[in-house]
Amino acid sequence: MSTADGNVIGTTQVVDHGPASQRWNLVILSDGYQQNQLPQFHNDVQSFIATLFQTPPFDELACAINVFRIDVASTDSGADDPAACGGTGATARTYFDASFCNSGIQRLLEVNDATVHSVVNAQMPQAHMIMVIVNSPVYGGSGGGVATFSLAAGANEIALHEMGHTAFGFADEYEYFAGCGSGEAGHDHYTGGDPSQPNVTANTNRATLKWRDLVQAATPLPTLPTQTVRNATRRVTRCRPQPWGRMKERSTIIAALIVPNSIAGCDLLAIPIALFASE
Amino acid sequence: MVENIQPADTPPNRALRLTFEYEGSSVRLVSSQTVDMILPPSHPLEARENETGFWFTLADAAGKPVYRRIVQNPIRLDREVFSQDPKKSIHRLDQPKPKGSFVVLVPDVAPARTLILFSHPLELKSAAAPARELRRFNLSELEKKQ
Repeated sequence: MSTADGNVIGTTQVVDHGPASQRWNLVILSDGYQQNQLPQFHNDVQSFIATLFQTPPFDELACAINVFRIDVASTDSGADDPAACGGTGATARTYFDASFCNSGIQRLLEVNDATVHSVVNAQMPQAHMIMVIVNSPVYGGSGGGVATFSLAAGANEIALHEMGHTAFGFADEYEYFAGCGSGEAGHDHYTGGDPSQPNVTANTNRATLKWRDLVQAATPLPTLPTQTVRNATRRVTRCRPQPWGRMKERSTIIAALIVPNSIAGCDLLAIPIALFASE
Repeated sequence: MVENIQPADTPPNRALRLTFEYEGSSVRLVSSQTVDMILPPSHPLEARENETGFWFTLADAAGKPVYRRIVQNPIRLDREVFSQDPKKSIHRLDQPKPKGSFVVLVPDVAPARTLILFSHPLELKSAAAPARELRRFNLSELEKKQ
């Protein structure tokens, strides 16, 4: 299960909103698709793109984003699904070695990220964000420098969540480690230095708060989940918010507010800076 | 509140694509490519006192920062695990022996001489501790990897 188990077919630009040197480039690769299944991969990419461009703030930023598809054929279809995690026990010879059951968690689906980076460096080095779609109906995925997700319903949420990290540098905002309802204590209270990410802070000084321009004078600090930031209502729940389960609402608002009001014509400077803006 | 750098003698939108591999706290550069692509503007060049997280800084010959970018820590000390059940939350899983690969994109600008990676101590219990220098690379060393 390695690069001997398939081959790189090539790269196709599937969303062209301008020169790659002037746009934010998303690259999507396949794993666990046999050669004759690549048309299905093409459809899966189109399905993800449709979801992406219906999702705030990417819907408003669409003209700043290019999407490239790298077709990689694997010897076998699917991914390893070890029985130790309750899977079928199937093994699949795939180019990026996709496997469920990493760290003993079935839905933690990972690929060999070094191999992915090697292929992207050769095929599309202008990539800002890299994803791998794994040809399996079993729910799974993982984040990091290479976001990975399967074809199961809802798995593309993982990729969208990871884009919040990669495109905007957001930190997660959920207040637990082992999971909501796990009974753990202490992860809802932060002590330490001020986090570097733009959407979280330990600072309650209104004058120096990272998002001070967004907070109404009457809003007490620290802001609470039920309070408002300017006119936007934060619909934060304690556990995984739905339907937008990627980042919590403050991040949504900050992301939306850094998008310029007018993006007609997709200004080459304004849009990328908006996409990359932070504080 | 962002500081952009585009020295006049540097072609616009030139970047270095640097690929690293890590195992535990050991980080090594495996490749460097020069690429025509846009990059985000610099974050404030100086870190705040006791700032936590992960960032990388380009410094000039005098050691003065010319570009700093804060990113999610690419050395994964834990993994996010997602549930298909929308009623169930994301949770995290400790990764006591992190190993993997990541890419850093930096502007290819004339004054830059050194790339410095900063991170909080690479153990989960220290994630809220101030970041400190993790590794530094001379850009001349990077050119040899081209």
